[in-house]
Amino acid sequence: MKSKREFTLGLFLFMAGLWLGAAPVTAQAQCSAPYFIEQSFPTAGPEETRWRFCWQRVNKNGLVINAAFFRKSPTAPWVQVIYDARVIELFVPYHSGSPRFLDMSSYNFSLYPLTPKHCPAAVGGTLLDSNYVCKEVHDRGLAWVDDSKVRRGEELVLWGEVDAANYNYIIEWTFRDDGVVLGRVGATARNFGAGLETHMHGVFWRLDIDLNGASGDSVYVNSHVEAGLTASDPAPLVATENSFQWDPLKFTSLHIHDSALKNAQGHASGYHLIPLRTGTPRHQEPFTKSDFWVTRYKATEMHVPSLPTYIVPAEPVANSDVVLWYYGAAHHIPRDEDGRYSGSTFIPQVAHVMWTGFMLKPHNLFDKTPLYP
Amino acid sequence: MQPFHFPLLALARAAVLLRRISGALALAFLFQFIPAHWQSAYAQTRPQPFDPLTAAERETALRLAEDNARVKELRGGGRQRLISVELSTAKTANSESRSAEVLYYRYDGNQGILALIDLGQRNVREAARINGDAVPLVAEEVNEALALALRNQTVTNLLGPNYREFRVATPELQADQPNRVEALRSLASSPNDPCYQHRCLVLLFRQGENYLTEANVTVDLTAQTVRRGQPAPKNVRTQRRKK
Repeated sequence: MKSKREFTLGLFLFMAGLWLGAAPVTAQAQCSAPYFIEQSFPTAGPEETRWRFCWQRVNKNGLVINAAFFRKSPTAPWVQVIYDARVIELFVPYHSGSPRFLDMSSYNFSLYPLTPKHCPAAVGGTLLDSNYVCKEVHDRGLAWVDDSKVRRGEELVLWGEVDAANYNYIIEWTFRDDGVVLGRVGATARNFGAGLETHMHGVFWRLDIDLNGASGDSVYVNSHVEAGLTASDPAPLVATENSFQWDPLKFTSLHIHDSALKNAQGHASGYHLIPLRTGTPRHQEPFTKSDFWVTRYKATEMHVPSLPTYIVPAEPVANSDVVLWYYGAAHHIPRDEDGRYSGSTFIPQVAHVMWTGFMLKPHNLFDKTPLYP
Repeated sequence: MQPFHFPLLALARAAVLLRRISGALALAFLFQFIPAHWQSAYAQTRPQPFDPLTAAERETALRLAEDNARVKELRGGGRQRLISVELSTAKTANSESRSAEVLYYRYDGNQGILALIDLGQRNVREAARINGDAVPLVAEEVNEALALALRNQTVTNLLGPNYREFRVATPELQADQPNRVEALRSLASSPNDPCYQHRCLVLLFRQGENYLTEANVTVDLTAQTVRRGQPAPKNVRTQRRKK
């Protein structure tokens, strides 16, 4: 009997050891090839920074990012940034009032297979997962300049093409050497119909940011305020679920911090959600009345037209597991460049890509200027 | 009462416990000497949390959903369709556990039925009704719509003698396939519209790079009817997509 008990206990610890050995809690263990990406920067020479993340090909949402971790130096610990980031809706209303498409919740549009022409090796391209996704690793231009001294930056871009009838949406995620994450959507298409009509491509991202893990995150709304010769940047805490408008005069952005994450200077580390936009679309639909939404994590909250109901009643979101929602848009005014003329008859051809997106920028994550000697 | 025996008994029990723990620790220690490739092989046989569902997991998720009394009750007995079986990345207490979402659409009442399956526990964690407008169209519905449209003489007259050559566009279908059909969802906002709370879609017929804009039709999968897509009522999303 005794030896049976010993065996049972031993087996338990054995299994525990097996489990621990197989599944350390890192991004590396949370997905398998080809869904796991690890990239160090610079691509040549001694490593300075490194990203690890998973991606999924999801019908409806196209290309989804999971479990993204960043390491600011080879000796620094990994910091989780993202649990789940996805384009959650594409809202396309036409100026005449109809149609008003919800391109993600209405369809099961999938990614379209790419070719080496989409993703040439010459620009650092590699096709993944039966060619549905392109990974590009390349130069991103100037990181900084100081007279004769200069540093060029690098980035990893992962993208796929959602085939939405005559539209193609490019869903793009960029992970930069300086810890920045960029999310962009590009709208391009085969035009049709004799009369092209102006319309909006509204893009909603659902960003489940788990900075340093799921719990302990808080969000602040930063605004730049001018008062005479002086200015200030108040950033009040978002205490309960709410929505916010982007104000071009205030450089509105969301700041997210984790209660336990500090850099070597003892400063609270965080990420800033900064819009990259050309305008603000407001339509009749209530879910288009705000540009930022902050909600408490709930797995079932995935439907953009229901966003206004997700913040009523407003639950506390300070020091918790939060989800950020961001709404941007590309405004397509038809032009002769969308087709060609045969005599006086306009023959539609393709519309070039129009982009909208955002930046997630580290703030006090590094201990000093990154990518600098 | 034998008070002097108590410490002896305690000592004896402690010795037994110590032996058990030593044995267990020895086993755990021995685990470290299992060849790394065995450990790695074990890890590779298990899907990781964000890996796509395996075929076996899909089958399990679907079977658990179909056998669940609550899911059966929500699905009812009317016309319905399986929409998707997808990996769920909902956070759980056990970050290693894997879940799946099984989604059905019920044509009567325009309802979606969503079941969250815990693949580790092999049970249905949650089952709920969702708004049918949030249930995406699937390829089988577009194929059904095309079949309905091609049984309509007005449509076949518009498409011409080669109307049977039209195929639903899919990523697998070569771009040089001349006669392709694309579909757009039609959501009606007015109760006066026949598509209100119905599963409607607009079919776009494409020949090469050109759309046959005169031939776009609205197919109501709930009522199983076909009508010309133009002119569209002003408050209905049935107009053709333009760029």
